[in-house]
Formats: sequence, C-alpha cells, structure tokens
Amino acid sequence: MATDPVFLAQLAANGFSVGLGYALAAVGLALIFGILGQVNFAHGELYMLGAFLLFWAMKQLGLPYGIAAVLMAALMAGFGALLAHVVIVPNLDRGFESVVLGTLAVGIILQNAVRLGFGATPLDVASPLESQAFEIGGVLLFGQRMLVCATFLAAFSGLYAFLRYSEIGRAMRAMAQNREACVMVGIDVRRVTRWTGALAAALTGLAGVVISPLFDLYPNMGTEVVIKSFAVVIIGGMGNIWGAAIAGVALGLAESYAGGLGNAAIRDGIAFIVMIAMLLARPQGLFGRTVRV
Amino acid sequence: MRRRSALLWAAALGALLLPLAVDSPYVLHIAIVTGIYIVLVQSLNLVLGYCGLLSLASPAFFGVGAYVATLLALRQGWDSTATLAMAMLAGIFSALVVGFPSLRVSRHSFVIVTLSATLLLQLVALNWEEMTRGSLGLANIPAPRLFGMTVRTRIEWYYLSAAAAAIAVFCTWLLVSSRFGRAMIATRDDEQLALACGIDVFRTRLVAFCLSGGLAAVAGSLYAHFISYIDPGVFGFSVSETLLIMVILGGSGTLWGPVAGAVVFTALPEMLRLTPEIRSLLYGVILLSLVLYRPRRLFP
Amino acid sequence: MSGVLRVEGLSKSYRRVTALDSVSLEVRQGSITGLIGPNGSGKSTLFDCISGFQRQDSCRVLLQGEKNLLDLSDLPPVKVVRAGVRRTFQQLRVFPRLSVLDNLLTAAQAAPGFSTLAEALRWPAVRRHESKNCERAAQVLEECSLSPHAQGPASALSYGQKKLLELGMALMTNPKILLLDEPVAGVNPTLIGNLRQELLRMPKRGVTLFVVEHNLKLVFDICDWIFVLDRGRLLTAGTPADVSKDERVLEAYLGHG
Ligand SMILES: Nc1ncnc2c1ncn2[C@@H]1O[C@H](COP(=O)(O)OP(=O)(O)O)[C@@H](O)[C@H]1O
Ligand SMILES: [Mg+2]
Repeated sequence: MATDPVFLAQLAANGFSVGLGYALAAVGLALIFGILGQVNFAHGELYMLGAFLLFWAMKQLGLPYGIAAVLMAALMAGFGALLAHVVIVPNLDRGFESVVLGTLAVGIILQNAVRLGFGATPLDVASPLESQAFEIGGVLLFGQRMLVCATFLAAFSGLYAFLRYSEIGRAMRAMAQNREACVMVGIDVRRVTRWTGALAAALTGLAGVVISPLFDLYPNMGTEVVIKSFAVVIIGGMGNIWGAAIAGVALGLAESYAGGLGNAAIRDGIAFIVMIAMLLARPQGLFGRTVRV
Repeated sequence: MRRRSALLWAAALGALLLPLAVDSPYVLHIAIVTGIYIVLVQSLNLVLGYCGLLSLASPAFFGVGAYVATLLALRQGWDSTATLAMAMLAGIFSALVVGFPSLRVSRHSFVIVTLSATLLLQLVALNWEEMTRGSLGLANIPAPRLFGMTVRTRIEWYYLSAAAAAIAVFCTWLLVSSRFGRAMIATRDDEQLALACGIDVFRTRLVAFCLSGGLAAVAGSLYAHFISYIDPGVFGFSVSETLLIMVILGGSGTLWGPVAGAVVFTALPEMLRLTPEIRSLLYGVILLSLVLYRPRRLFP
Repeated sequence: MSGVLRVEGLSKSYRRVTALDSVSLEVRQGSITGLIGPNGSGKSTLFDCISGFQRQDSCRVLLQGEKNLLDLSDLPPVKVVRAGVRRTFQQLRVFPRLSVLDNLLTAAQAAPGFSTLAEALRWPAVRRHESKNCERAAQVLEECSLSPHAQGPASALSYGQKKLLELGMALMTNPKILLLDEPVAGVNPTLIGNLRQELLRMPKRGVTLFVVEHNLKLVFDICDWIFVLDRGRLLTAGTPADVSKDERVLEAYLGHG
C-alpha cells in the first residue's frame, strides 16, 4: 500500500495543494516582515477574521460564496490598513517588541470579540466547489483545493505585478532595502506602511476565505495557521516572498508524506522541527531575507 | 526603604493569617490560584524583566509541568515530591530545547520560536490522544503528597501555594541579587558592552531561560494537582497575555512589582465577575493601550 | 621589547566596501601604540576584528600568552577577553542603570566562570572572588576620583566621568592589552589632562595600550609607536617624530579625509 504509486501520487497532489495554501496564508506575514521589518502576531487572527467575515456575509447577508469571498477580502484590506495605522505606524522607530505586543493584543481582542459574537462552537461555511472532485489517472483532485491553487497563482502574480510596476509597490521595495533612505528621498513612509498592512491583510483574508471551507471555523483557528506561517517564513527566509512559496510547498509535501506514511504527531511536529533546524543551520533562511521581485 | 519593608512584613503577616480571617472557600480558592500565578510571574520576570527577552513560552513550560506531573501521578502512581521534581526537570529540559537554537539567532526569531513552541505543544496535547486523551483532558489527578503529608483541604492548599510563592520569590531574589543577576541585567541593558566585559551573553540567557522554564513547570504541576483536571487548554495562549500584563504593569525587572501584578490581576477579574472572554478582551485592550500610550513602561 | 599582539594579513569587507585590506602590524609589550588615520579608514573595524566582534575574512591574530602564542583569530569576544584583550567602544558605553560600583564589578565578570548555582548561593569561592573585586573596584574608584558617586547610577555621571568609568571598567581585570577607541573624544581639556595621566601610568602596571585617537597632539605626546591607516591599508608606521614629518600622512588627512 505504502509504495503504491497511485497512493504516492495522491499524497503528492494533496501535499502540493496544501502547500500552496500554506504559501498563500504566509505571504502576508512575509510581506510585513520584509517591507516593514516587523513581526505581525495578529496574523493568525487576520486569517480567522477573513473566514468569519465570509461566514457572516453568507449567513446574514445571504450573499453567494464567490461574491462574499471577494468582498470580504477587500474588507480585510481596509482592516489591515487600520491595523498598520494604529499599531505599526507609531512604533516604526521603537524597538520591535512594541509591535509584537501591539499586534499580540489586537489578536487577543479579535479572538475574543469573535468568540463573543459567534460563540465557541465550530461553524461551517459551504462553498459550491466543496463537493466537486475529479480524477486524473486514479488521483483525486478536489474542487476547493484546486480553487486554493488557482487563488495562489492569481494572488502571487498579482502581487508580483503590483510590487514590480505600481508606484506604491516600488516604494515598498525601496523601503525593504533602506527605510532611512526612503525618508530622505521623500517617500511617505506612513502611507507605504498602511498600504503594506492593507496588502498583507487582504492576502491573508483571501487565504482565509478560500481555505476555511475545507475546515471548521472556530475563534482560535488562527493558531495553527500562524505556526505554519512562521515556519514557512523562517524556512523561506524572513520577508522573502518567493522563498515563502517554495517553503510552503515543501512543507505541504513533507507533511503529506509524513501523515500518509508515518503518523499524525510527526506531521504536526514537522513545521516546528524544520524551523528549528533551519535556525541552527541557516538563520537567514534558505533564500535570504530581502524582498525580491 | 523602611516604609517598603514595613509594608512587605505587613503583607506577609496578612498572607499568613488570611485563612484564619476569612473562611470563604471562594476567597481561598482565588488566593491559592494567586500563589500559583506568583510562581509563574517570577518565571516570566526572570526572562522578560531581567534579561529583556520577550518570551511567549511561559504557557508552554507551564503546560509541560502540568502534563508531566499528571501523567506520572496517574499512570505511574508516583509520589508528588517525585512528580514535582520531574516536572521541573521537564520544564528545564524543554526550555533548553527551545532556547538553545532561538537564543542564538535574532530577537525576532526568539519571539517567533517561543510562540510556536507553545502552540505546537498545545497541538501535540490535543492530537496525541493515546497519551493525553486529547480534548477530553485528564481528570482525577490525586491530591499531592509531599514529604509524607497529603494536601487535601483548602487551608492546607493555601499554605502549600503560599510556600511555593514565597520560595519562588526568594529564589528569584537569590538569583537577581547575585553575580549572575548582574550579568543578566548587563546583557539586557547593553549586549555589546556585556560581551566586551567578558560576559557569556548566550550562556547567561540560556541559563535564565531554563530556570524560568523550571519555575513555570512547577507552577503547572501545582495547578494540575490543585484543579485535579487538565486539558490542552493549559497551554492556552491567554495565560501568556495575563502574565505579560501582570509583569509589565506590576513593573518588570523588579522583585515585588510582578507579585503585586499577580495579586491584583487574579483578584480583580474575580471581584468584577468577568467572563473569561470579557476578561481576555479587556486584557487585550489594556495591553494595546500600554503599547500605544506608555511604550516606555514595556521594557525596563 | 617583544610583541604582545601580532596581526597578520587582516582583511575585512562589508558587502562591497573593503574596510581593511591585508593589514599586518605588531604591538610591543609595555608600549603605548597609536593608531591614526582619517575617518572611515578602518580603525574601529580593526579593533572589532581583533576583539572578535566582527568575523574577519582572512587573518591571524596572535597574542603572546604567559608561555606560548595564543591564536585569537576565530574566538568569540568572551574568549578574547578571557585571554586578556579588553576593548572600549568609540561610542561611549557604560551600563546606565547599574550603579557605578556595579558597573565596575560587572566589568570584572569575565573569569573565572562559576556555576550559576554557586553564584546564587554565594558559595565561599564566589564570595572571596567578589570581595577581591570589591577591593579592586574601590581602588579604581579612588584613582578615577569616582568614589563619591559609587552608589549612584552611572547615568548620573557627567560625560567626562563616564569616560573615566569606562576606562576604569577596562582596568578591573588587569588586561594584557587594552584597545582604546578614541578615549578622549568629546572630553574637555582639563579632563584630557587627567586621562593623559591615567594612560601614561598603564605601561607601569603591565598593561599595553593600543589607542585609536583623533587628537593628534595627544597621540604624538604619549605614544611610543604609531601606525597610520588610510582607506583600509597600512600607510606607514614609526615613532611620533617620524610620522609627524611624513608627508603622506598629512596628505591622507587633508587629501581625502
Ligand atoms: N557595520 C558596518 N557595515 C558596513 N560598513 C561598515 C560597517 N562598519 C564600518 N563600515 C565601513 O567600513 C569603513 C571603515 O569604518 P571604521 O572602521 O568605522 O573607520 P574609522 O573607525 O577609522 O573611522 C567605512 O567605510 C565604513 O563605512
Ligand atoms: Mg572609528
């Protein structure tokens, strides 16, 4: 069974699609680190918030999945800009601990606000693609997973184009290189910071709305996402967006094979173990820590 | 100085006589939990206050202590003196595993790794069902028997917890007022200069981190025996936020400030009868306001 | 006189900037040796490399020990200090929130390494060591005329007093060689006089001095031997009389300094 090629291929397909999900979920964290040099500890809660907003828009407003997903990801951008404005902008010149504690506090507030609003019982959102699946050579591909992969492709190419060609994207790359120099040449650092927050939150919210239909929704669902994202970002090189993509896929594949051929405890531990190993062997991550486009 | 020590003696006397003055089980319960929190708060104070390292791993070591003591008591029927000692060793060992790689690299990575360790251990406690019974938790943890005495009644528990708190504060004092304490403060205030003075910054931090892990694990094992039931919630991240508030608002890097923080922030939510969600929400708001309006307060 | 510290072919570059380009030099036992050069010529970088704060690209740093030569090349700062090489920083550094006395005691914590348990429980060996350090600290406080301020926080001292404290900290452990990075920068003329006296006393205590200083008058006055760095290369070396007459030195300072 374990050596059955179809089974191995199935594991590869699962791992690959899960891994692209990890990359999508982690890229917001990598952006904030790469461009602002800050660690966003409310990252998991941004993901959670995206998922709950989706649930709310579908249940309360009765919107169909596709529209709700896009709208809520856009709403998340606004929230990200707000978060950056309130927590990161005033702390840009202080020690990084201020932002750590500030975002931590925002995460706690979000988690408990959602718990008060929606209760702690797991909820479920239905996506039309959830029940779809098709088969290629014995390997099953699931509709929602394919949507995650498609979203990854769209989001990463969009991000690439944005950083590469837009004026604000260029400013972001400049800020990743040297913030003091940006101030001197007259780039509005606060504005770039808000934009970075918006972009990161939108991407994280997008991950939330496309990935969450695969799982239950509960207020501290962000914790699992945040460990995986930290692992992906450390392995790929803090702030390195392409590194995050590659590390995400690698982690997804490793977990898929560990879960399929080994057991669940090993699967859960892999992210952490690889992260520690990486810190010891190559603290700057596999691909270095600069934002490259 | 004189006034402060008079205040301390009065507080100590008050703590000693508390069970005679009030016999409300509810108040005693809160007092016992406060004692456990004092142990935990000193564990964070060592790392955050005296070494200036933002560690989010306190709940991890607390949980390790709770699970190790519980499993040894339930599965192996070990005596509590032994389970307590093993819990402490387990705490020290896990701190070594987490601290060794993360203290070598950037301060960013340290925070990330300490948080990840907490979350990971919670995940393991949840999913390793043969061992931990997952989210069902482990119940019927026996009352501790220490040096041949079984601690059963609330009053006995109160004195056990008060003794633990006193020992924790005393050990912290021994440490921070010693040569080693000077080294900790030096690495916190100016890492480069500490290196130039020949202080092994990495070793100093690692030792402090391990001791802090041991202390947190002791608190965890006491907690498990006291509540007599644990589930993966002991790794709950909300513990971290409560601790941070107790230490930072109390005064990190001082001996008694965090103790006062522990007393106030255990008693206050109980007195106001806040639900856990509201309490956490409030703590989140306090933490955020601290960051925004009193940033200098955050680090000594 | 024999060499106490020898640097062979030290090169160091930061990404694209070459800060040091195969510098070789030798500091003689018991001397006061100067290191001068225009801003950015690599003087601080040289100290960073010797003291283990920067990893050099290629080099050997040798220290004359009691009996044999010690290779300091790849040692971490702590080991370099334990071998007897102390340094100060160009930017004034003391522990602002520790008391002046505690600053001095902290500066004496390099060796021997006690276990944390021994330190926390104040075992006799630790106590003996601490009281010895306290005596030494009292002596240093006296010499630097800081005794009245011993219990106050270091942040309360004036700039010049902090400079003295910094020097005192470096002297707590009787180093073999002391690397001083601009010891009198920003100090007023009277205090310079005091510091000069302090510096001149060092060789008699068995402490070799290696001094980076922009105050050339002081350097030419106290040094036995001077190395001149320019853009990461050793330009020349000699006695103060030779160096002060060397035209290339003047040119380096004026030309592109
Ligand atoms: N940390 C660093 N990163 C990059 N370049 C540096 C760094 N430190 C020094 N430099 C460069 O190395 C050269 C030598 O600097 P430094 O040793 O400080 O000179 P000095 O002390 O003689 O004024 C300068 O060009 C400086 O810009
Ligand atoms: Mg310099």
